[in-house]
Amino acid sequence: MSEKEFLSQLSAHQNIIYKLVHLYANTEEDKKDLYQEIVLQAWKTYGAFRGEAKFSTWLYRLCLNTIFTIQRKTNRIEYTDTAKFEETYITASGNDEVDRLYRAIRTFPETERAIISLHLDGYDNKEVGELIGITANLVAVKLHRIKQQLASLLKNI
Amino acid sequence: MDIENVWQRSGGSDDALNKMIQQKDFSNLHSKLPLKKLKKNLLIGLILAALITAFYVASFFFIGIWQVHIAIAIAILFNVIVGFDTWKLYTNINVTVSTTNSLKDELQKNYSGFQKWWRIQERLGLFVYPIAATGGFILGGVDGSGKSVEAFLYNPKMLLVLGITLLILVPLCYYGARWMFNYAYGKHLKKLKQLIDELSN
Repeated sequence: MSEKEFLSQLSAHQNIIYKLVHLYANTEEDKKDLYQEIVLQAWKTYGAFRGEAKFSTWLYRLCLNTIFTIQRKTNRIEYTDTAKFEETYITASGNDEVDRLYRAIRTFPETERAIISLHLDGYDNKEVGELIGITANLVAVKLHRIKQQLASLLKNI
Repeated sequence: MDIENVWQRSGGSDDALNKMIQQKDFSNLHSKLPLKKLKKNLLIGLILAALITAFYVASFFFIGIWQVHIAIAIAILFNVIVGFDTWKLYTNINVTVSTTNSLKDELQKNYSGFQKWWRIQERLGLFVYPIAATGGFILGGVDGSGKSVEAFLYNPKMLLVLGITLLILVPLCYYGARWMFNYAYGKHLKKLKQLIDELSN
């Protein structure tokens, strides 16, 4: 894959980076650091991308592995039905519903955020399990609980 | 709210991300991955260990006290063993994020890298420092008192002082190394462990 192809693939799939960074960055500085690290790691490893998996799956895995292994400031509010969302850092998207959804998802533990984002992006339980490193059954159990809590959270705000 | 629909609409971009993607020269970007920091520290440790070992070797020929020779020889041996382990760890650490590992495997790779480094530091604290301290104590004592090693160590008070020195220095070095390790990586390590546990439950 040439540099030109890489840049065009990255541009075409930048919504994955954008969504994940906004789910995990706790400060503006964090956000920039995560963007930088993801783009750098993608650039360093894209030579090994052989097209066996879809580019989007490859990028998703890279984003998650990067986000989880980089040192970030921790700032998560505990889950409650009436969690105060305004305490969570988030860049306003200009869309109220989108902001509400992000604030709600950000109240979940980091690994659960990864599971719900993969699910919402259309990955089935087996694929989510492979990307995360857990069984499809465990994904199903966690997903069931996350969805219930998410629905309850969104009803109350 | 139709969660799936809202999520699909949420994908956007911002200037910071666009700027980075459009950047032509990615070599200007610097990685902030903790494993990269660890690898740099390992390299510094290796250089220091080589310098210290060279100093020990030189001292070996300049000091004419056989008891100190033994301490130096043991310290060199341990330095070489620890240096070899450090080198192995250094070459095994891949500072590029894996695109084949699952998230859990990647977290474990990071966690075990730091754990292995700590075990090396631990061995240094427990084996190399006491021997180096003993050698240093004998050398300093003999040099300062002008007595032979036998005469210097024949005094039970000196043996007591040596024991007390070791009792103070060894834990001090060990806990000092542990404190520094925790200061540098403790929070990150705790976070990695917590994430691995989250995925395991």
